[in-house]
Amino acid sequence: MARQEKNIIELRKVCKVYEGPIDTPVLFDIDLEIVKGSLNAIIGQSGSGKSTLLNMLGNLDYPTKGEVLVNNQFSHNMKPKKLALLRNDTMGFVFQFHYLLPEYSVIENVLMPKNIQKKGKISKEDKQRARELLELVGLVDKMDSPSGKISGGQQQRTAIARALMNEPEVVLADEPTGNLDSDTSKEIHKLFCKINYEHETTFIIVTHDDRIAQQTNRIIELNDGRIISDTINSNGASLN
Amino acid sequence: MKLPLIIAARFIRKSHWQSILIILGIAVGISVAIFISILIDSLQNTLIQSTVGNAPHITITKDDNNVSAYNDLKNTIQNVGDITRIYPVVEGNGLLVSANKNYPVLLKGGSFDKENDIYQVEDKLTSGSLPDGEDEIIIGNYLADTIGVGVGDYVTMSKANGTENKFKISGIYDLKVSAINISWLFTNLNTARLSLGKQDGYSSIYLQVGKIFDADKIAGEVKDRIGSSYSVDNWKAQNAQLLSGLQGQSVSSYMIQLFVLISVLISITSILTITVTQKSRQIGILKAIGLNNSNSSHIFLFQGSILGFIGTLLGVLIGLGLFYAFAFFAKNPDGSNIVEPIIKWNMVLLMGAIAFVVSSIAGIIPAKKANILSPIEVIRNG
Repeated sequence: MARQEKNIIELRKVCKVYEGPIDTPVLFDIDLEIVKGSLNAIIGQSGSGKSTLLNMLGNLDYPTKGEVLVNNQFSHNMKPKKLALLRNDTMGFVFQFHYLLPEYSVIENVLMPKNIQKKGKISKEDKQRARELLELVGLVDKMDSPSGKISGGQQQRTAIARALMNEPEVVLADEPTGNLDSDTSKEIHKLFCKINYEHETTFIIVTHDDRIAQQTNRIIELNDGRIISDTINSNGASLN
Repeated sequence: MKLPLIIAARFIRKSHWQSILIILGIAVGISVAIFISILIDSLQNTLIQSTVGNAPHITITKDDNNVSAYNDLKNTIQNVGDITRIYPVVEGNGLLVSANKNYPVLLKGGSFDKENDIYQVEDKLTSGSLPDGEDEIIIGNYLADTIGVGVGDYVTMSKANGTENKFKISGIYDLKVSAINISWLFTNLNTARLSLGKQDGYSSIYLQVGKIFDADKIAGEVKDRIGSSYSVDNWKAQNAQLLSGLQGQSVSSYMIQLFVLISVLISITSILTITVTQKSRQIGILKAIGLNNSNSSHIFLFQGSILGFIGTLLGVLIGLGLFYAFAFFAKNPDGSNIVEPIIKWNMVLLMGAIAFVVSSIAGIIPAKKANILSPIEVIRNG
């Protein structure tokens, strides 16, 4: 069955300049549309602006110029409180350095987005979902372990489970396998493909690993803050 | 509000050494403030009790040294303020004649009835008994030692008009004030009247009141009721220097407490500010996954409040413990307490409440810091 193509995130003429003693322009007039349910890779050299672009797509940072739309709603001029709500409801993040909360156990980390959403009033069903997600990422036996006491790969899988907790429409991952060995990397990318296929969750993955990019449906290449190529990858993971 | 509270509690629990140090810092500060406050209150109370506890708070006299119509006067003033004792006395000066030297004395005649005797002489007897028959007196231990007399001995008092009276010593008292112990002779009203040639009326009427710091106001009301032919004096007017000393002591106590609270405020603020820096990674990630700025701030406000509450509670307990230990171990040579513990619980509660509020305020600067922390700073800088 063919999917109806609808944009989940759209960037219009987005520019980003990091202000400082010397202003550093990072992104130039980026126009980009991310289709709902797609599996996207952003590639490019170090310093090409990949992570900055991902931060714009994830509404973690404000553009210096241009517009950002999430589900056809302007988000670049939203108040911080509304933006926090939008991120919590719509997006899941997986960062390169895991960024788990060391004060919490594995399952508590996974539950945190739900905790934020429900203002601390977690239900049995929520706990059950967190458990299922940990089963999905193969960590159910570690769910009560302190998050700082598990391996890097396990931390990354915990971060993935956390990113999926609120059933987000889009997961943004910045070099999610950058610090992992090749076997674990493969495992995690398989997991992304599986979730994308089963739940129709949109994925935007920043990577410098061409092998991983080749497994996605669309490869966006950046150079010096500009999109130099945007290709549909028919060899990537099929959604159909 | 629930989530920031849960996160704050978790941050405190997981950084337990740091939390224990902050709590101890608050507790030590508060305990010092509480200890000093109670100690100074108790010392002041002990000082006031020893100075005016067994002395007239208000004295009614007349220029001709003859207060008559006592019963009418009593009826007029007994409902004024919170007068607890009305004690009429007949008194007069004389010289106690001894073999080597004469000693100026004041003969005081009044009732020894415990309900009215403001000096509570019966409790102050160290030997012998109260004057019962005519010509019996009791003298202070200091005077007895100085002239070398005891119970059952006779002494002679010479008056300004040249006449003399011979008294039998029925007992010896100790009012704990050497100036009194060497110069006051107590007797019953009848003996005083006969000895001083005062057939009716009284020399003075002494009053004691419940709230001794209101003595000046009550004295004013008494004066209004009995008229200007009487002189009405009060202990506050007679002890202005003591009062000023006490006031100075109170002000210095308040200053110490203020500075202790300021130092507690500064310490908690600085430690919590460091905590925000330590936890900036956590705050950044929580914000990235949807925690809003206001809830991020509340985490640190709650941290300040939780630490402040535990620290204050501990501080109050330590402060009270320190004071009771001090009161227990600090004794006079005769074994009596140097200070009688007087704990104003409302004052302790107020100080505890102020300390708790101050600790909560200490979370404001760190909370503002957390409020403006951008998740992108943490993500970009790692």
